[in-house]
Amino acid sequence: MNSTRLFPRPDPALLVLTSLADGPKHGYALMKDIEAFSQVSMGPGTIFGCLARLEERGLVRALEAEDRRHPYELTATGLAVLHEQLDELGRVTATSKARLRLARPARPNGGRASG
Amino acid sequence: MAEAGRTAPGAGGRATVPLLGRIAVACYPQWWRARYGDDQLSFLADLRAEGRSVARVLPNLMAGAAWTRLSGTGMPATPSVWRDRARTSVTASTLAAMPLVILGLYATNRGGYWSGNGRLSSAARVAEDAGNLVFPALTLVFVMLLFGWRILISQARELRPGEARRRYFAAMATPFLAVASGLGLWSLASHVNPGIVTGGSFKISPTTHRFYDVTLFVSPGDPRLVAFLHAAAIVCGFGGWLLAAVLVGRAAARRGPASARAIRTGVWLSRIGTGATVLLSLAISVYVAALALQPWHLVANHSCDDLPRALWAAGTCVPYSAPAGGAVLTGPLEGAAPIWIVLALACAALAVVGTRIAGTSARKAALLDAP
Repeated sequence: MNSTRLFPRPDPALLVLTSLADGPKHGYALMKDIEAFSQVSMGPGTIFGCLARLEERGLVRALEAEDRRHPYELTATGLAVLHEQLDELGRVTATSKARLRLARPARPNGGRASG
Repeated sequence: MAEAGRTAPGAGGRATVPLLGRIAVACYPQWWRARYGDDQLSFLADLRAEGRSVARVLPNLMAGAAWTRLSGTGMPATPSVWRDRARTSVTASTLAAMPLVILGLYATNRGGYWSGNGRLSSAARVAEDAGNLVFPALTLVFVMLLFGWRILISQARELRPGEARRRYFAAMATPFLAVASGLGLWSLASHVNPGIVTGGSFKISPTTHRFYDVTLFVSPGDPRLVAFLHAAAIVCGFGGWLLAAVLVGRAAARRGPASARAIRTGVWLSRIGTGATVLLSLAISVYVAALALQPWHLVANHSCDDLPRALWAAGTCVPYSAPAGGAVLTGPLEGAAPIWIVLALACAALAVVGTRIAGTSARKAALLDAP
């Protein structure tokens, strides 16, 4: 089963905030970074729409333009929101992994654990 | 890694962005382009410099432009920008009604009734009632246009007397003169080649009390002249209507101070106009659908065969007949009812969305205006 069809893609805002977590980036660098760490391809319409939304809510801010393009960086609020979101995701991930260990579901190869 | 990302290779400028990319960015609102336009163009230049396809991101850019226009995300908190947005939305909802007017007039003129013994089938009666709804709705839309025209005229006050004002009034009068000429030409064509109406007058549906059986045309004049007059009338009438749409759009697109009161009035007019537009689209849809349900067959209609083809083309004679008590759609409407219904409903949806955005934008502008 293709799990990407079952579950929606990660939220673009979360991907952008994550990408900015290690320092400022402009739009194109954001796209490449997100592609590298999440295999999600985002077009300029999505990226700048997302940046506008985040900027409006004070989660990111534009820096001085370099060669006619603005790098964006996380604000303190953006950093706090990212921590909050990741904590929430972390709780779900931890719970899910713990329950998987307890349940030990049958594997396609006859239930034998590989590796 | 962050620093490496900052300096994307091949940092280009506008010159390296393909035309389609620049057009896609130009689809964004002005305030957006002022803020993110250069960023987006640089993005496309970088994409191209790395040998990636700009064409592949165009749909994403266009969708982003549409969403930005609809949602207004990132709009600056300036009352004038929000008032401009309200004004553009009012214009969009008004312009959405214009194709519906043409479609309504066209559809209601392409239904050929065949009353036979004087009784119409159920679907034909439904169509008749829906067709009768078209005209009140058209009248409402026309009244809206007149209000819009008044706003246009009020702009002339800003012009200095003289050549500029004369040119402005000449431009405004042209569409009305064209529509009036179209009506005149149509009357003249009927005068040159009058129809003979035969049949009875009786109630066929709750809203239609009189129904004429068959209209036959005698041809005392030159049929080619009649065909020419009809064609000229259609060109003048529709051309004038479209020109009016263009002028209303141009006037609305003109940036300038608009008072809060004018915007409020515009929004209310837009709500009434949208009500009329929705009514019109429903009437057209029911009319077209009801007529499409009627069975029809092509027969050698003697009254049409006797007339030259030039008259057929002008729409003065319907070369089909339906079973007695039925009705048919002719011309491009025949067999294409779903397309026309989708078109009508899409125009209505555009009008509703435009009015809704106009309302929210006007409220936001008023909030920003408040001390």
